[in-house]
Amino acid sequence: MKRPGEYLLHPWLILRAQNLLGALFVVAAWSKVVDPPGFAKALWAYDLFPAWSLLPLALMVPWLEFLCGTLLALGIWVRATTSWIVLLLLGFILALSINLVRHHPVDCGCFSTAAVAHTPAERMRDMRLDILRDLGMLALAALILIAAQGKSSTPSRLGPGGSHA
Amino acid sequence: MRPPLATLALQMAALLVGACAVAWTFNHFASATRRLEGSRPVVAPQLQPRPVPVAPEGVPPHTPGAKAIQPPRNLAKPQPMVADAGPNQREISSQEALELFDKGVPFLDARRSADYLEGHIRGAWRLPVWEAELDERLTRFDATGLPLKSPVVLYCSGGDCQDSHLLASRLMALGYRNLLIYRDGYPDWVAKGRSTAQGEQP
Repeated sequence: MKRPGEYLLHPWLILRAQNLLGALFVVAAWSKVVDPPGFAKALWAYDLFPAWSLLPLALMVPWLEFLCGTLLALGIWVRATTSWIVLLLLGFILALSINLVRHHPVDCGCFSTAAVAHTPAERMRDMRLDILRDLGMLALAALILIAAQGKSSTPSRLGPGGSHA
Repeated sequence: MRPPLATLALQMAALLVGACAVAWTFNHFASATRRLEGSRPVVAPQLQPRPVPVAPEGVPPHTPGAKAIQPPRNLAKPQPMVADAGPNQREISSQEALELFDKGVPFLDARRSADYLEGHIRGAWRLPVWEAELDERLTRFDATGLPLKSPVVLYCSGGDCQDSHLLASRLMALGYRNLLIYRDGYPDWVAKGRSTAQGEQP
């Protein structure tokens, strides 16, 4: 009888998880890719980043998200793309948590850079939901990484250097 | 054969370099309203010395008697990212904003260009504080030769919008000393049914 962990790491499920996480990252990245000033403004509102880092971050992070999301959905460089996604998610969660703790309501800027007319209380509620959503995505990414790790540790049928991912 | 961790590190580095390259290329060819200036932070409060522009295209009609082009005024000391509401700037009410509008005081719109094109206070200058062309537009505004002590009204979207405050820091760095921030901003102006315009024209 199979253990629950084996069901979770079933190749069919892992493939769907890759597609879903990849697609989510592509969708999230797109609004920022097409509007770097909007994302720079969203980052500035977090009040965490020094002024000199705003432009490079606002330019580079959305494209990193987009690239990782696309390649992950296509099953290319799964470990590398998922590792970046884990790092990005940890960064987002940390940034939101710091502002939540210090009662500094911000628009997440995760899926849209458009300014939203929300009250501070609504923003704080949204930030909690955003953290929960990011934690869910982090769990998905961890699952993919564990599956990819298992795959890379088993001997390849193609012989040395035969692994695609 | 390369160890798995080295392969992972190489692939991650390649992704980072690839993202940077695509971002730089995309930004280079993006329109002015969608571009970030890569040479300095958007919110750097002081203007760098720059060459005098050739011609002040599209100088709004709200500044009567615009003089010939002058070099940007002496650049002031660096200011905090959001300047304190000191003697050089203060927030004004909706009624004060209307009185100043009737007197012909220049209004500066600090919102994004897309918002400006959708609708703005009639005669307002477009000075989108987050966009690449801000410096050029500030230079054009400065080139009108408006006295530094003259009142200037700045606005954005009201509420917790900080764009007009950021713009105020940039103007203070240029030497302007009578900056009036219309606290409730454009939504309030529209709600009160006052004069607005749409599109590129101020």
